[in-house]
Amino acid sequence: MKCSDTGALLDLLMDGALREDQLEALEAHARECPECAAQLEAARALSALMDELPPEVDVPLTAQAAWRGAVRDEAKARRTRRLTRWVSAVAAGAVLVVGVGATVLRQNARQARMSAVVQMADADAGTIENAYEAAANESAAFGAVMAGGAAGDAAVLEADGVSLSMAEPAETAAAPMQELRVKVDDVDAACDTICDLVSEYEGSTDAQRTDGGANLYVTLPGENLADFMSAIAHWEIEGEPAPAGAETASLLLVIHP
Amino acid sequence: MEVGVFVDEEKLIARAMRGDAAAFNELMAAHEKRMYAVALRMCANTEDAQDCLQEAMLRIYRGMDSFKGQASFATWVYRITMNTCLDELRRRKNRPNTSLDGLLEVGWSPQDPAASPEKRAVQGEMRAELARCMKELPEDMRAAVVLRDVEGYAYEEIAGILNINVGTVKSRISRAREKLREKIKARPELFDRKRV
Repeated sequence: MKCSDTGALLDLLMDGALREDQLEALEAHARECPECAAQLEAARALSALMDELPPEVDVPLTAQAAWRGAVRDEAKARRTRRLTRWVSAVAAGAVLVVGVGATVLRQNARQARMSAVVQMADADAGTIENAYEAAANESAAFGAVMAGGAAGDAAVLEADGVSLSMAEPAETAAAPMQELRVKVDDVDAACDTICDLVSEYEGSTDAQRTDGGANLYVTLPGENLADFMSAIAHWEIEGEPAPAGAETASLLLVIHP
Repeated sequence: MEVGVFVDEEKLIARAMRGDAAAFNELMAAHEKRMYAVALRMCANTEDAQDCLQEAMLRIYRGMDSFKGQASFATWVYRITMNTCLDELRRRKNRPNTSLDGLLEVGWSPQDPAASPEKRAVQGEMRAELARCMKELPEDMRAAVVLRDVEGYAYEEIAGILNINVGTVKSRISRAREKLREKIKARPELFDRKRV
């Protein structure tokens, strides 16, 4: 064995891959070569020190709270951005959108009424508040809208660039609204996830905050109901939706902790 | 690992990809301690290590929908963690050296409850010196040797985490160990194993 072999053998030693015969050769050479003997001793000391270091270290509670809080803030900001984009898209697509407080008018296809989604968008409250103010100023029309309007009439309110219009929805075959109670750990996160899922399954959601929870009024194409129910099956759900068959499925998801 | 664990992780990943913060927190609970250990050994400072942990968590959360599954989730997580640490180290290259006091905690100097006070003092001294030696290594060598000799990853796993080939991993580790041995040789009285 030569001194130039020492480095490679010491790497095998540190990897725990040194064979017995290789170790004997290394030690025999170290007895003859003080430099390699010092290298061998240093390698053993280094190996012992490294072995004592734990591969995992408990994260201090303050650091845990810090990163979880940062992620939570990021999630909230993401929901706000998404809601703002959704509100803008809906407004542009001529559906009634008013943002104040937590009042919701529920869509009922049979009675041909429009539902209004009312949520405060933190990042873009201006747009939504302006829309509400404008709608409130048009009180007669807004009142008609709130009452369901004259059947068959379309009311259009133009205000601050937000186009609010509504028309009696076409009669479609729909199942009666089914109420399901959904138990979750985090109401906000669950509502966000469910809204995304409904959107994926080509449905629409109206949301209403309740004390500690939320009511989500979900409308879906009937053919997507089963897949949607599978996607939310990981939560504890009381109640069963009506079997698929209707063209449109209507659900009231009562989200509670 | 049991199949059930993979299925649970897959479900959490799917939910986290949709922005579910609760699912993300649960998913990362399995990786948090190791991520922090890597950050500690790379940053040589508890404050910076905690900053890196938070930044890495945010990068992972933001990037969840870009996780395509070509590598294992763990490999992807530790790649982001290591890149976050390397970015921080490069960013503070021009800052004055920070104190190593924060390292003399459990991460670098785990206390052996069975050891005598004298032995713990000797061990602590050795480990503090090792921490200083590690801090003097170039970052790419430090990353490789931390992942191998402290975290216990295989060479192929390290290649995946650092996004380099296995030959380069082995070369960096070999050079890092050589530099560390030289520093240990220079202080034989400190690292004499008979003292412990």
